[in-house]
Amino acid sequence: MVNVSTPHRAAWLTLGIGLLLMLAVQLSGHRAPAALYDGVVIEDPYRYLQPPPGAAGNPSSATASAQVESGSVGQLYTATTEVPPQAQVIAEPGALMLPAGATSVTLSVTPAASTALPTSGRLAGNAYRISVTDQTGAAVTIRPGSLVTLVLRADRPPGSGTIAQFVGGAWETLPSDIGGLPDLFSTNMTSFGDFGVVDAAPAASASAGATAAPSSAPSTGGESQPPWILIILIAVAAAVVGWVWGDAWDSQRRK
Amino acid sequence: MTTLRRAVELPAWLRAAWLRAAWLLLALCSAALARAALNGQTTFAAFAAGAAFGVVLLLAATAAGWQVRRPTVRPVLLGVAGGLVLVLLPGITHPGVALPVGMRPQPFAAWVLVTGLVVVAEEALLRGALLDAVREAAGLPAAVVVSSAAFALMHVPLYGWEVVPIDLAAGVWLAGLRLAGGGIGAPAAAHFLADLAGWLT
Repeated sequence: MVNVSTPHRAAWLTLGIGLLLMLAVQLSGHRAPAALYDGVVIEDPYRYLQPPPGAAGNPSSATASAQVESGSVGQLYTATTEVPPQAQVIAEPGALMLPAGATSVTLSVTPAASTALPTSGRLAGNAYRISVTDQTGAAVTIRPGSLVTLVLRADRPPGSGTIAQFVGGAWETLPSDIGGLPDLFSTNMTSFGDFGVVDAAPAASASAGATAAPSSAPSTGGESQPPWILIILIAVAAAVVGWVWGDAWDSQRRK
Repeated sequence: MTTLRRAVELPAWLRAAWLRAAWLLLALCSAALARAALNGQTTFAAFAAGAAFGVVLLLAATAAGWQVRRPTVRPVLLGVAGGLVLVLLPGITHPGVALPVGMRPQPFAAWVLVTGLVVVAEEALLRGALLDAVREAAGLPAAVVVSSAAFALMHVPLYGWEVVPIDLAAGVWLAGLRLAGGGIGAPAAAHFLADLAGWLT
């Protein structure tokens, strides 16, 4: 399969186009959380705080602690123990506003009973209470403009999923990205509190045979919405590049 | 019938290459769907489905004429450099953004073995046998586009439509590594490095 006659020009041109396409995808707002999506996919059954009949219960909690050094805290990360984690929080260094006298902080992620349902759609899994406190139990807040990322897993790939925060007695949806699998979602938090994944189109999921109980089938991507505009743009760009390149290739061959 | 007649009238080399490309795509599509259906929710099922997927792709690539060759140092080094681009690009374009942690399947040694098999099998079929078949039938630009599109779409059953843009772009990058390196050593090294980074980050 080694083809020593392959012109280097074509190789470098292909690499250049590939690099530009990858940059375009990353900068288009379609933030890809990883370079590739690959490897061996394992998803434990979703663990519910209040499991429906036949579903798994006993979801895990997670904590992480850090010392305050020079008035700041380094990166904080914690995740629940399911595979993949049902909740993860990553705070960049310096992202927390500390109360006076704080010497250490503790980040806690705890499954919480939902006190209200979303006005439309359904809560796709547990609500999770995210909090950070100092050594006295005083609340720590997020510094405005800092990055504190929350990743939540839905109990099954939602028809239209997004992370929501429970604020003032109602669920408010937050801008969310797909977090690497059809049932993983990420968002950047501006405050701590109660969060969950809201499926705004549960009817589509229900039509697939799943209602309140979690699906025992392997998660597949068939229910997520494709980013059609980006796909079409890339396809058109690839076609144009291919057409131009094809002409150049033919010219080169004729020489 | 007109279409069929036209097909019959095509030169033999063109028909052979198109047929080879067509059944390679059919094998890839079937294997990807079967893997998603068999993946299940247990470690054993996931590893078994991944391993079976890799074996089927290797068999298909071999049947299409791909031959195992020991990679030389230069393509592997080129692949490592290409893999670093894949790994570092999200961080460079979004500095400071913490990346979600996906899965860390255990045991790690088994994950490395199965992922290595899947990587080599995907590269043997896509950037090896399929790229050669389409290039023979329709030229290099078509070969790069078809192999990259197949790479993107084969991930949809497990990972969803969201992966199509980045995997389409990464497919073109890996095809470039194949052309620059001569064989599949470079794209396989880059692909494996990117998967390994996905486990470690």
